[in-house]
Amino acid sequence: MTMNRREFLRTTAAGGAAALLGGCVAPVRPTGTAGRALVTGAAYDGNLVETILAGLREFPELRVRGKSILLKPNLVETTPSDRPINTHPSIVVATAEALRRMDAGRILVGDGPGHRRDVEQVLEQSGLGAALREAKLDFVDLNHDAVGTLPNTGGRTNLAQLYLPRTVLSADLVVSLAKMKTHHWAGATLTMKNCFGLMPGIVYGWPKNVLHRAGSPAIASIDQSVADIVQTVRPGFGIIDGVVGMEGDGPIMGQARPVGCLVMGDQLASVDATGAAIMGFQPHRIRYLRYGDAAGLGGTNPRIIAQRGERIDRFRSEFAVLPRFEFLRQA
Amino acid sequence: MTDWISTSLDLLRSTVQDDGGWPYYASGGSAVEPTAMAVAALHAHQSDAPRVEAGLRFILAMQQPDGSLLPQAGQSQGTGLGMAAGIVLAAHPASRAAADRVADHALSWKPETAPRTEDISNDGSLIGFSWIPGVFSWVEPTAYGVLLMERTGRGDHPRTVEARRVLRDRAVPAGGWNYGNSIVLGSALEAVVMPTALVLLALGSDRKGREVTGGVKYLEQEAAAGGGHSPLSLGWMNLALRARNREGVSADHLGDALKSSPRIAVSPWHHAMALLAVAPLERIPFVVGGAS
Repeated sequence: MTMNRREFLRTTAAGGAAALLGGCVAPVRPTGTAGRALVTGAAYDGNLVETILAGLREFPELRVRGKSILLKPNLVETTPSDRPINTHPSIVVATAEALRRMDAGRILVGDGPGHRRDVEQVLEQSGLGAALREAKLDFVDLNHDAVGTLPNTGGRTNLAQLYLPRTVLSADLVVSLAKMKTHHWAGATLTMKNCFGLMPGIVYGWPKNVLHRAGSPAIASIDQSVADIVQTVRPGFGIIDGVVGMEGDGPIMGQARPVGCLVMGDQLASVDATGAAIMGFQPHRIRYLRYGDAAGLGGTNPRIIAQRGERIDRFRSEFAVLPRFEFLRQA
Repeated sequence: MTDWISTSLDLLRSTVQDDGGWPYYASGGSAVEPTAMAVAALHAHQSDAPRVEAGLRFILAMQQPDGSLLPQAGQSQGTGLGMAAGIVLAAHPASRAAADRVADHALSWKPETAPRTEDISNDGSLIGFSWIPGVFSWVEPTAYGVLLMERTGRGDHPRTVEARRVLRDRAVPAGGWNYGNSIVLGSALEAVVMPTALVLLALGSDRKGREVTGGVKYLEQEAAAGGGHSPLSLGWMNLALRARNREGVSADHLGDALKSSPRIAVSPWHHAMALLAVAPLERIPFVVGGAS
């Protein structure tokens, strides 16, 4: 029997309490679980719809016909500079068009920026607002949406339940559209970390500070929150905008790093491990990827991830990092 | 009257919900913050007293036994947004006692503190106001907290005094404020319109401080630059500048911004803020101490 996402969330709710009671041990190595991800060359002015459509079709387990879909870009901030902070609008629109061609049902785009109350301003200044209007796509401000709760299925943090926007709870499929960036607290932000923006500011504030402090030990809180959110929400697909990424002091103050690729797949930890490898990092050095691997969100050892599409080596880069994250490169 | 003002007032009248509240956007349910803004806007324009009273009743219905205000149905805990609504409650005699309870509750939360570190330049030992219990003080709730304390006669409370210090401490080096960090890991962060305006309103009696002059200069630059700002940000910007006898953007500019996207065009939150931006200052609860 096929179980849709909403049914899955209902049936796994009871498991959340057990996970909370049992606690979770932070693994230090990949589990050895195989994963899958696809890497493909891309440019913002290229034929992104065909590229993404071809990528989506490499994952026959992904069923979108008639489903309501929420696309969650990384919409963070805008700046007078040209720093590439946000998922490029062309990636968002092309993903929506590709899903439409696969007969998806209603497609919404939504995000809840962690620093900005006024999402309309971020939308307009980032160019995403105009792009969505042209593509006839509706946007939902996830920070100010009506909310409901789900038990925290991950159970790593002390949050017994997670408040989530009604739009997230009612979607059949959530797609994380991330930007390939370094992150000054988590090492890298990819499709899993992007899910922080699913959490409603009207509950958690700006920044969503409690999520930075709800775990133990404190240094692992942000990673534990990321894994809890992804394990609870279960986004069904992820795409990393690696056409132009950000290196150095990401996710806001870094510099542009052109890479020229997209990474995508239906196992977010594997997608992110592939993205991290392209950035020149050892995926198992990123704590939330280890949590994701252990939680069944996809294997994170690039050697045993079934890589579809193009070879990672074609795009492998050495993203500059802050000194505190030099260890990400160590085997 | 500028055409969009009457249109916006009509929109507020037509989007009130059965429970007396207003949603952020056309499709949502009633929430405390947009209701407070709509109440303030209608009151400031001396329009529709029955809807003002109904809106106040909705906000009061969201008050919990501890004095906090739930942001909307479905949540179990008040947040810093309750302080924003409390500022509006304090402006009406019938809800003044409820505003006092919001203020007392806000004072009962003690945000987390932390010593200053090399990573973050803020003086984390200072206590302002937080979004929710158990986290640090941030700029927007601290600004709301200061305004609420001023409005409820607690302007000299030690927490209010320290909260003003928090706000000055969080100014970014180039002038203005963002959500609440100025320099992180050696990078000077950038200012944002809405928090900058809120802080300038909260520091209403401070006219000369370096942080204040930097914030005013930032807002004036943004006003002169023009495009890209929503009615929400433009509204706060204009209030803050007008309260300091400075010019913001024109009423026509605000009207154009209200038409900038289909979602904004029907958002009670954005329309209420635009209406406040052009209302008489003495009728706006977020302006304390009078213009000078």
